[in-house]
This record gives sequence, structure tokens and C-alpha cells, in this order.
Amino acid sequence: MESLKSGPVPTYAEESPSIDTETLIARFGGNAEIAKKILAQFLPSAQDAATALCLAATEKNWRAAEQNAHKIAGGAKTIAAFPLGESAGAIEQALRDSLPDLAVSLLPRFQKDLDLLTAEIHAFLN
Amino acid sequence: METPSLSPFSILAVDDEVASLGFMEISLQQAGFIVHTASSAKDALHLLETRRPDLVLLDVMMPDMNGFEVCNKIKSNSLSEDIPIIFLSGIKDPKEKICAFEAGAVDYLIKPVEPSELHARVKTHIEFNRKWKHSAQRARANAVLLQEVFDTIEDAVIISRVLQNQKNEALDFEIAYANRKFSLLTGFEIEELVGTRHSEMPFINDYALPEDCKKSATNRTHSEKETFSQKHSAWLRINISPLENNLIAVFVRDITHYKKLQQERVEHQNAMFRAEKMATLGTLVAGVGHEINNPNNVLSMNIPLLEKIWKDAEPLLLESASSGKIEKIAGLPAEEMIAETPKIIASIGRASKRIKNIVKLLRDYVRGDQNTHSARPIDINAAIRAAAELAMPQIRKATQKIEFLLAPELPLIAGDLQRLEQVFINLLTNAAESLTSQTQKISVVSQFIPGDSCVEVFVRDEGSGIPPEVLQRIGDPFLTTKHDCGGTGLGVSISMRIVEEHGGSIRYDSSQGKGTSVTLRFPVLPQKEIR
Repeated sequence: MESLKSGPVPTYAEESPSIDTETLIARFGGNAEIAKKILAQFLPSAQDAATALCLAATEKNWRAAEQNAHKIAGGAKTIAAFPLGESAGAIEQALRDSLPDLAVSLLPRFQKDLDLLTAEIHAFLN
Repeated sequence: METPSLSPFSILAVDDEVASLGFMEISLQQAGFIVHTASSAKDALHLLETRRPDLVLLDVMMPDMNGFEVCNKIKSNSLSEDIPIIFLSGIKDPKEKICAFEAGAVDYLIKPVEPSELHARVKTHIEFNRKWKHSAQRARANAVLLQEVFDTIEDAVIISRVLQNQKNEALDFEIAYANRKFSLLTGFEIEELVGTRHSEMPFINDYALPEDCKKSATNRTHSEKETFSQKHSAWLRINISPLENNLIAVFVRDITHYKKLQQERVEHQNAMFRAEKMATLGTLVAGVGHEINNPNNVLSMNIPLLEKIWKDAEPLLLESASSGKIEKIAGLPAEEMIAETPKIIASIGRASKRIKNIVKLLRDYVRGDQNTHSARPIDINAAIRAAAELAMPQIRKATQKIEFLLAPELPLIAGDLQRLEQVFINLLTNAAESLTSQTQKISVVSQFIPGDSCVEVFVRDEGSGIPPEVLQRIGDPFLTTKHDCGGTGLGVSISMRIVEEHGGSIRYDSSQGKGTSVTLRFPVLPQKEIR
């Protein structure tokens, strides 16, 4: 995991919304209240996982980092938060491919996607 | 979104990520499923100790234990091994999918999954699993029923799989099923038999069954054979039948009893045939005897007259012969002929008596039951003594060793003294005739058997014995080994009949070269009938 390997660096469209609320609500049977309830549960869980991810990266505990990235990616995709899902998924894949440097380089983008999503979720919940 | 009708199916959803877990819970509840959730592997396994969901939805990557390990644990527990497991993961790697199926999963879905697809897959797998369980249950019940049925039938049965080469030729057979009887017959447990090849089974090889099985499997024909098993001391009938799906059935039945009955039937038929033949022959011979008796009467009546004639003629002939008037009579010298003539007349008389005696025996035989006898209370010892007195000259010629052990004060029996005397004369003369040395003994014993309320008499000799083939037919009329010395073959037959007429029984035991023992039994006359 320590060796630096080359790999594709994902690019993102800046203007993409952080969450596709329409898909989210449809996924929960058209029930916006349930969707909101899930989002309210997802946010603290994702933030905790993000903190754990950064800490693991600092400690070079790549296994823990991969698990947390996987967790965030899965949850984000489930709530139709595709940008965060993709950035977390890219970190997970980089670590799965034993490219920790690449994974570390993707962390700022991941953090930004998380911040944007957090803001959008707060707005949606309110 | 499709909204299925309320289903009783219950699901266990396992994921450490709240959104995914929430999605599964809510989505499936809306579709009518009962959903239990666990946010860790440990919680999931704990929950499975008390609940049996119809299906488990399982995340792969979890912090305490990965999904594959959880899957392995569920599948290795007999209480949960038949629960279908679907993995729901964000990992698209085909290797992960293979690991999932190898761990025992029935499906692998990539997150995010569309709710309708999730419902459809969950429902399909649950229904398939229910049908599979039902089929397996039915198959188990059928197997138990089949075992019970096969265990109750009389035959020893195996069902074997045909092992073929590429040309579809049967090379060997592998036992797929065996019943309890086959286990008992061969001495192997059913568990040992199943999976064993015919070529490795001693019982099957002992009776050349591999070849029969090959013929049956190749030609699709039934075969049957009967063979005697030295090992089991039994006759076996072995049937081989080809079945569907490359199977054959071998049925083994113990037919010893049937064979015995068959043999008895043949013996009975032979006895019937012999009896019919003897009845016909008896009637014929009795008729002939009657025809002989008439001219024999002429002979026997005229012999005394002939003797008187000779008495008167003899002095005249002697005088003529001595004076030389007559030199020859019937071509012989006159004096020699005159001396021989009384002997000739006497021999004609003896021959006539013998003819009369034979005819009497024939009549006795043919009359049988019609021959009325005057039944009176008699002492069997009296009949024995009277017979011994008459037969003694003949016995003395054969042996000096004769003993009578007659029980005193025997209970009386109902009978005809003269006819019973006839029986004992026959037994004693036969015994005497069987002796080959003066040192061989004849013994007669009489005794009372209180338990059977009968009087028993043994007549034993140490003579040459009766050949088995003769002993087998001892009661047949005209059966004699003494043709050359004038035996008629009617003595034993008539004796047996007389004993039967007295309500008694007679049994011959004989060993060639050692002697014969005849046992007679007569029922004792009840006290109230003795007047």
C-alpha cells in the first residue's frame, strides 16, 4: 500500500448538484418525509466516517481508510448524492488498487463534495 | 413504484451504513415485507439465534466482520443454512461477486439498487427457496416412505446406478439404495452398501449377478433365475429389472419354503399315481386270483381221492413190476416211478395249498376295510404269544437269539385276536428272514404309554435292514425283495391295513446292515367299554 502507483484521476463537473432529491424521494416510495429522515441520519454518520477516513490516511492505516471511503460512497449513492459517492468511491478504488498517494490527493475534493452536500442537505431539511 | 400485496416474508437487512440500511428497511417495508435490521455483523448473528428470516440482505464491507465471513457462519449453522443470502455492495469487482457466491450467496447486487429490482429479486429468491425446501421435504418424505415400503416387502432389494463407458456400455453398477432385508442377507449395513460397486460385493459376485445386470441394463430386459445358496442353505430367486434414469433393480427372494412345497406336491402326485396304479393292479390281480381259485379247488378236492386211488393201485403196480409184467411207467423204470408217485401227489397238494394261500391273501388285500373283524377287548401280549408260537419253527431256523419283554398286565385294546396274530406272524417271519447269522437277535417288547393312552409294541431285528428306496414304499402292495423265495409283497401291506383298522399306527425304521425296528401303537380300550 505504501508504493505510489500511477492511475486515472477523476474529474468532476463543478456545477453538478450535490444531491438529486427527486431520485432520492422516488427511491423511498415518493415519501419526502422518510427521505428527510434518512438524510438526517446519513449526515452525522458520513461526517464521522469522513473524520475517520482522514485520520486513517494521516496514520497511513489504508485498510481503515478504504473501509470508511467505502461506507461513505455506498451511503452517498443510496441517497443519490452522486458527486460525494464518486469522490469517496475514487478514494476507495485508489486504496483498493494500492495507490495511497492518489487516494490522499483525492481527499481535498472529497472534503469539498462533503461540505457542499452538507449545506444542501441542511437547506433541504429546513 | 410497484406496490406488491402484503407479504408474510421476513427479511434481515445487515449494513453498517445508516442510509443503506434505512433504504433497505423502508423500501422493503413499503413493499410489504417484515424487516429486521442489524448495523453490524455481530448484531446480525445474534439476531439469527432467535429469528429465522426468509432471506438475509448482507453488506460486504463491515468493520467488525466482512459479509463473506457472516455468510459462512450462517451457512455452517444447521438452523440457518437454508436461508437465502443476497449481497448488497458498492464493490463492482467480479472477484468479490465470485467470493459471495462461493460463500453461499444466491445473488449479488450493486448499490445503489432500484427498489423495484430489489423487491423482485428478494421475492423471487424467497419463493424459489420455499419451493426448493418444499421439494426437499417431499423428497425426504418420499425417501422415508420408499424405505418403509421396501423394508416391509418380502424381497431383499437393491437399486443400483449403471456406470457406463463412452459407448454407453454398462461396465459396473453402484448401489444407490438397499433395503433392510438385503442388509440382513449380505451382512453389510445399509450405509456400507450404498456407494459400493457390484464388482466389490461378495454376494453379487457369488451368483454371477454382474453379468446378468449388464445384460439386463444393455438389452433393457428383465431376467430371473433360481439358485441354491450354500452359505444361506436356502433357495433364492433373483430378479433383475432395468429402471428409468440409468438404474436397475435387483430383487432377491428366499423361495426355500416354496421349493419344499413344490417337492412335496411332486411326491404327493407320485404317491397318488402309485396308489391309483396299485388299486387298479390289486383289482386285476384279485380277479385273476378268483379265476385261479376255481380250478385250484378241483385240484385240492381231488388230491385226497388221488391218494386213495394210489393207495389201492400201489400194491397192484408193485406186484406187476416185480413179476415183470410192467417194466416202465411214463418212460421211467416202474419201481422208481412207483416210489416217486406219492411224492408227486404230495407236492401237487402242497402247490395247491400255496395257490389257495396266495389267493386268500389277495382276497384279504382287496377286501380291505370291508373285511369285518370282531372287535373284542384283548390283551396284545396274547396275540404276540400266539404268533410267536406259530412262527417259532421259522425263527429257530434263523436264530437262537430271540427275546420277549412283554409288560405284564397291559391295558386291553379293542381288536380281533386272529387278525392281530396275523400281523405279528408277518412281522416275526419278516424279521427272521432278514437275519443273515444265527447270532443276530430278534426282540419283541410291549409296554403301556400312559401319556398317550396306548399300548406300544416293538419288533426289532439285527438283520440286513431295508433299502431306503424300499422303505419309502414299504406299504405298497406287491412290493417284495423276496420274489425268489416265494414272497407275495402283500404281508406288510395287509399288516398295515389291519393295524389301521384297529385305530393304531405302524412305523418302520431301518438301517441297512444294522436291522429294522417296527413300532406299533394301539389305543387302549376305555375302562367303561370293558365288559
